[in-house]
Amino acid sequence: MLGVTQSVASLARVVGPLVSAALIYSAVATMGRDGKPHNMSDHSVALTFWAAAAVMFVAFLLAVYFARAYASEYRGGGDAVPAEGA
Amino acid sequence: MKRSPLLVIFVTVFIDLVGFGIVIPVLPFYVEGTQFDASPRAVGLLFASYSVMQLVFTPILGRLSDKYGRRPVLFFSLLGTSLGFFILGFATTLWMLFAGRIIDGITGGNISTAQAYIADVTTEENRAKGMGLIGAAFGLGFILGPALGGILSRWGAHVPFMFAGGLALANAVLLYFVLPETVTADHPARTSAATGRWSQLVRAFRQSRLAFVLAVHFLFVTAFSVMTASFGLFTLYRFGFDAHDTGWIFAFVGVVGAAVQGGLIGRLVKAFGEPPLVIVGALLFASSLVLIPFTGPHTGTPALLALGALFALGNGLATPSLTSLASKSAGRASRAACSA
Repeated sequence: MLGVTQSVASLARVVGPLVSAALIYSAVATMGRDGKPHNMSDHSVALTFWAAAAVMFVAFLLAVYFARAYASEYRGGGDAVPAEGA
Repeated sequence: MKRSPLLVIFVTVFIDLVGFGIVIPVLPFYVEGTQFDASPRAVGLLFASYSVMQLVFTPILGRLSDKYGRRPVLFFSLLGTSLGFFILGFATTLWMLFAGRIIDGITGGNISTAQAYIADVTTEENRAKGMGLIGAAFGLGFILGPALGGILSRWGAHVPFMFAGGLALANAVLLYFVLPETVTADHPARTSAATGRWSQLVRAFRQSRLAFVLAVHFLFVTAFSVMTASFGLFTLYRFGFDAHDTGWIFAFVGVVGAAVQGGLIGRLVKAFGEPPLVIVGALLFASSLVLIPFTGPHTGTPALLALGALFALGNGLATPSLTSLASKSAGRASRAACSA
């Protein structure tokens, strides 16, 4: 099971930075708070974080569906397995 | 359960994660703010180049460790990690940065080999405890890595990479002298978790309940990776922070996450079960991501820290619950298959 969850996480660690690279870049450079121009804008920064939020919202909907379908079987289900971090 | 080999394995995984954590706050500033003067796109691609190589080479390293032994694979993977970091530290061009990340990614898939080593030296009864060491090393490394990266960047943006390279090299030397081999002719190794991982994945997705859990897990880690690749760029652009400031924010997020996972999650799972915790975690996680772009000098750093804590709380509630759900769903499926 460990191998399967690791494979899923590995794949996600490829997709996440690629999404970030695609969305955070802005062709027009704007001045950052550090006083230097960056190929980012308020719009591109917000878009990147909101895209990640949208991904999480889909996860939320799937989790709600899962809970409605199977929650009674998992209620008070004992100790959680220690996470290895996302 | 032998103690000293497990300690070396613990240190190996810990150093892997410290190295991984060191990169997160420093790389955006190193790439975008120093002589490389690259675009934010390059930062994302550098993060991805490491992950692609790790994805491809983890099963290969696992298979090599089943055939040639755990020791040589762990030793050479640590040397590769060290080389990758030194290339990053000495880099003068962008392609050298990519070369460093790619080399580190190729050899960075040693966690499956570390897990296989633990499976070799533990019995059924104490295996969970042994694997728990890897979880602890992950957590500790992920908290200390970003903080360390931030602190060391005070002496130069390249210094954290040199430090991480030195650390991996020292661990390779330690491993060479201390770690005994487990794959011998009279003691065949257990097959590493990485072996046949894609066929395992396809089989897992055929079980609808497990497929659901894995899909949620995939979406969580994807969102988490978007956040880690973008956050340093965001704080640089919006707050004018350097690697030092961002490193401390990541360390704060790590400490809150560790507190949730260490002290709270067990009791909450007993009280509510895993599915509600995943739902609440996803909601908190998504809320923090929606609100972070609204922070800036006008809201101050406390607002950013508060959202970081919300993010850590969401992730801390959901991630261990998902791991637990995946394990239980797989168990139920196996039992169902057995009784059919």
